[in-house]
Amino acid sequence: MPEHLQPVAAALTDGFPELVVEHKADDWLEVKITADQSPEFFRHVKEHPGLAFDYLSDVTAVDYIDQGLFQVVYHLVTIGTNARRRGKLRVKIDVPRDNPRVPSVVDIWPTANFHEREVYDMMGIVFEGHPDLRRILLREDWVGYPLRKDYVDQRPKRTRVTR
Amino acid sequence: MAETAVSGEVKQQAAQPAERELFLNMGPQHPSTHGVLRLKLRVDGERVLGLEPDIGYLHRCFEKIAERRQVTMVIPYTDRTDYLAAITSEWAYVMAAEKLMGVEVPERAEYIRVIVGEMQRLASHLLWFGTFALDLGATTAFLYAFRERESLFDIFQKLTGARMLYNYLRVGGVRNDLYDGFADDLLRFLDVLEDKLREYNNLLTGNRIFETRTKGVGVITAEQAIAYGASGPVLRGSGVPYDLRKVDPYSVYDRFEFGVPVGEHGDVYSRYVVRMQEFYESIKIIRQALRDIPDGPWLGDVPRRMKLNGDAYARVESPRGEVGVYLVGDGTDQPYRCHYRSPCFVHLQLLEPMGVGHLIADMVAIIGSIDIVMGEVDR
Repeated sequence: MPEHLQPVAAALTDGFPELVVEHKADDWLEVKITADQSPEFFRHVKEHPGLAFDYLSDVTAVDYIDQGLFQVVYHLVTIGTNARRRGKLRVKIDVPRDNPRVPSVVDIWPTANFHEREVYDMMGIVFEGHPDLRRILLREDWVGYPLRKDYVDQRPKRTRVTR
Repeated sequence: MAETAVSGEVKQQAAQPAERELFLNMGPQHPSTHGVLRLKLRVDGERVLGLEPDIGYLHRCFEKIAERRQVTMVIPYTDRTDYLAAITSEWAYVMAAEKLMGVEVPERAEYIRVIVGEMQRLASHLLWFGTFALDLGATTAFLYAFRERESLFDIFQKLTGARMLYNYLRVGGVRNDLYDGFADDLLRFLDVLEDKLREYNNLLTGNRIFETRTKGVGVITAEQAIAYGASGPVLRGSGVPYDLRKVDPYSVYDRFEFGVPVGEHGDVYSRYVVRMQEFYESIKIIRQALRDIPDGPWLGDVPRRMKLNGDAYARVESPRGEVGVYLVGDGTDQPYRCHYRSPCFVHLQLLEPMGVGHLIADMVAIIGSIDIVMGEVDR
C-alpha cells in the first residue's frame, strides 16, 4: 500500500474494524462489504472528512454463476484539490443469486439512478429504495435479464425464409 | 375594463397549469436530438415542466457480445460505442486489458496514442461545434466544421485505413507505426485549423443571438454536477477543474504542458467556451508530442495466447467526459465481463434539472451542450 494512501485506508476502517482494504494493481483501493453494511458504509465514505468520496463514477455488477452470487461493484473517487492523496475506491458487495437485493445509494449519490436501473435491467438485481426501478435500455415488456450467464432468449423463434 | 379582463385570464392561467399540461414526445427520430434519443416532455405551452429521457433505441448488446470474443476482437466493438471518439473508446478498453495482462506499452506507442487521441478530440469537437451551431440555426458552421473534419479523416485513413472507426489501438500498443510524412500532414492541418478556429469563434462567440440563446440556459451548479456524476466539459463548464489527463494521468500525459479550460456559470455558453478552448489545448499537446516522440517499437511484448486474470477499471478523458471500462477476466482469452461506463449515459440524468423551466427551443441548445452520442449511451 503506497504511503500516501495509508491514512485513507485507516479512515475506511474507522468504525468498520473487520474491513480489509487492499491496494490493487490498477491503483484502486478495494473493500468488500455486505449488503447490510452498505447504507452505513457508503454514508461514512462520503461524509468522513478524511475520505470525502463525493463522486460515484460507476455502478455495475458481475455474474459469478459458478459461485452462486452476483457481485455489485461501485467505483468512487474524490473530486477536490487533494484528489490524488485520497486514492480511488472500489467497493464490492456479494449478493446471493436467488435473491439479489442491495440497498440503493441514490440518496447519497444521485448519479446512481441510471446506473442502478441499468444493473437491474441487465442482471435483475433489485436496488431497495430506488425511486424508479424499471428497465432503461430494454423494452418495458422484456422478459429475462440478458447479462446473466444463464440467460436464454425467451422470444419466440421466427421462421426464416431463405431467398 | 380590457386590462383587468386580460389580467384575470392570466391569473387563471397561472392558477391551473396542470390542466394545460401537454405530454409532448420529442424523438426518437428528431433532427436535434443527436441520434435516437426520446424525450418525454411535459410542457405548458412551450415551457418545459418535466422531462424524462427514454433510451435503448441503439442498444446493440455490446457487453454481452464482448463476453464471447477474444480480447483483440472486442476492439472494433468499442469503436462503435462512442463512434465520434473511437480512439478514446478503444483506449479505455486496451488500458484495462493491459492492466489485467501486465503488459507494458512502449514509449513510442504511448506518444502515438496521445497524438491520435488528441486528433480524435479535435475531430469530435469539430462535429460538436458544427451540429451545435446547426441546431441553433447557424447552418454554415456545420459545413465548415465538416470540411476540417475531412482533412483529419484523410490523415486517419492514411494511418489506420479507416476514416472514422479505426480499430487501431491494440493491447500493448498500436496496430502500425506512423507513416512517412505523417508529422508534415498533421502540422500543416494544425496550422489551417488554428486559422479556421479564429473564423469559427468570430461566427458564434460574441454573437448577440447566440449569446441570448445560450447564456443562462441549462445551468447546473458545481455541486449538482458532482452529485449527478458529470464529467468532461459538462463538469468543467460548472467550474470544477477536473480533467483525468491532469488529475489521474494515464499514458504519457504527464509529460505535456497544457491547460484545463474551466467555465464560470455552468450554463450552455460556459460548456461551449470550454470546448472551444479545448481545441487550442489539444493542438498544443499534439505539437509537443510530435516534437518529442521517440523512436522504437509501436507494439510491446504481448503473449500470443492472451490470458485475462483479475479485474481492472481504466478511465480515459474522452471528448465527452470520463469513459471507463471495468474488465473482469477468468483466465481465458475472452473477457468474463466487460462493462463500459459511458459519460453521456450519466449526463442524460442532468437533462431534467437543466431543462425544467426553459422553452423547448432551449432544450435543443441544452442537448447540444451535453454533446450526446447515443451509441455510447445505449451500447
